[in-house]
Amino acid sequence: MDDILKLDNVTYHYTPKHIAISDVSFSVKQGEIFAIIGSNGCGKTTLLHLISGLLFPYSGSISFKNQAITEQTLKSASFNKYFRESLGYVFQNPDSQLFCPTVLDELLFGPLQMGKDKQTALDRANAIMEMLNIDCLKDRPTYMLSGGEKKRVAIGSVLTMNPDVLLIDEPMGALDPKTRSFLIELLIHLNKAGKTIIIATHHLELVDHLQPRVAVLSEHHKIEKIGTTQEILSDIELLVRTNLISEHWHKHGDKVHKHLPSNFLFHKH
Amino acid sequence: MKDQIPSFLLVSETRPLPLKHQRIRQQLPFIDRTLRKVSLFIKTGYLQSETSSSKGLLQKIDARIKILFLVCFIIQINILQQIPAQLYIAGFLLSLCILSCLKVIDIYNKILILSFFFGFLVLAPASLNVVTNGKIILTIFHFQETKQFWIYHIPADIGITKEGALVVAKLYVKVVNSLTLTFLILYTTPFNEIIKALKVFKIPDMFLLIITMTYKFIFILAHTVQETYFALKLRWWKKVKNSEADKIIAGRIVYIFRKSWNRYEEVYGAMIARGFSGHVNFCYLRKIRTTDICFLALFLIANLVIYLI
Repeated sequence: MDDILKLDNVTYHYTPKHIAISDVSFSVKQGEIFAIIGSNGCGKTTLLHLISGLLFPYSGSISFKNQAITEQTLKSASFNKYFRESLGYVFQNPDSQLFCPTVLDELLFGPLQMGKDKQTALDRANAIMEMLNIDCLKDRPTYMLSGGEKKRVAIGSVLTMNPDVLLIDEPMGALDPKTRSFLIELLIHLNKAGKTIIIATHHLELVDHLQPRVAVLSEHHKIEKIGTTQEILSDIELLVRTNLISEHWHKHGDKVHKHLPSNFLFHKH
Repeated sequence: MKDQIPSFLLVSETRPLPLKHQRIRQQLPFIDRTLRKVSLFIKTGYLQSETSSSKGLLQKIDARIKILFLVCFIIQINILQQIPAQLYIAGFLLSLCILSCLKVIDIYNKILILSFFFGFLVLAPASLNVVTNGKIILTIFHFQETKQFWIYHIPADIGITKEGALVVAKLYVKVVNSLTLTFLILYTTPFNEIIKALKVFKIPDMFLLIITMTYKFIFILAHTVQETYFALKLRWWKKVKNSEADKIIAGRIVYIFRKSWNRYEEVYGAMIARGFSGHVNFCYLRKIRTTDICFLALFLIANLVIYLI
């Protein structure tokens, strides 16, 4: 499979002292599930912003299907349209992502921007609403939704565009267990249908479920290791070092003890 | 599950890669412009916190001494009428900027822009003979005859007078010096230290609390606006009708307003929950050290020397 996305020595800082991403390199193949994992503040969201061309690296380069993603290339109307249609990004905070007056408007916005006719856009919106079980919300203003509903609408608003690559920042955030299971299943099916999925998360459970190729970001904003789910989740020393797992206290009846989380591949109890 | 997924999602769209990038043009420049401005604002905030924690002369001085320095020097700048004395002050402040490892060119750029609008442009009319009498050194406009408009007497020649130019120069230098001094303190003192120092000077608690919350809120708001515009940029690349654009922008304004309101209610709730009853107790842990006393002495000497000159 060809590389759909390639990052070469990407560095980004807000100010010289506030480094967000340091010398990050990796590539993502077409049709693969790729996870960027790391503790809070390690730069996962910044990295997704860079990949989606919202921010631009201070040094290094990013390419999408062998085309450089720079401020200049995205100023070209045709390439910008092509890139934005091909790559859908679901933000961590759905509040920021929803900007249309109602849920239906939100779902229609993307396909209409792509130049789809109204009926096609409406069909897509209806199908997505039915799938995500949000059809009862279609005329509701987005600010009147609960956190979980907003997240589902945000995911739906990107899915109606049917992008080739789906970037999802903290997919499990603000979702109840049933919707989480549904989303995992949806991602697996979308991937089987050929979509490339890139997620940023610190939920190892999600990584365990989706079995992606994983890049671990350290607290120093660098890539610590890239490998398969098995390789990463079995490297306990790495997970402890990057603050992705830590010993925790818990009770068994009256007995209190502490140990590392036990629900992943390295199961130890 | 698979049959629940709409069929269009299970097939890839045909999207030919544009062979040649079209002519560069921005469909919705306001999105980029807003993002640039917001990013710059956030960056300025970070830079302020960075420069205030670097290892320069003024950064080592206690905030209370710096606030005292600020107040006394502002008074002195406004009392002194001679231009040479103001120039000595300007030189003194410039040397403090250099010794505090600040980016002098960046700071003076900001000072000169601000002083041009709030100093020079506002004061410029005072240099004309219609405001300040005196000998005209540069004629700007010539009428055939003098005119009387209501209570105003308009002379035949309108121009800049020597006395007027001197008044403008004096006031302009005062504005530049006051701004330099304020920037100097702002860039060398962390914001929380400034607030704590103001508390020592008996500034009312409520006032300090409002300043602190406003400062914090502006940053949160800037981040919210940035995220919002990022979301717009991702899905809005084609020009839409003005009415639709108005709807979306209005929706975003309502959203930000609601968000601000909710944030205000949450913060107030959090304050009440932590025992807030109208008084703020800031804890000032830092003690006055020898360096602070030395700076205080230096500043008093400088003050006296400039005054005597």
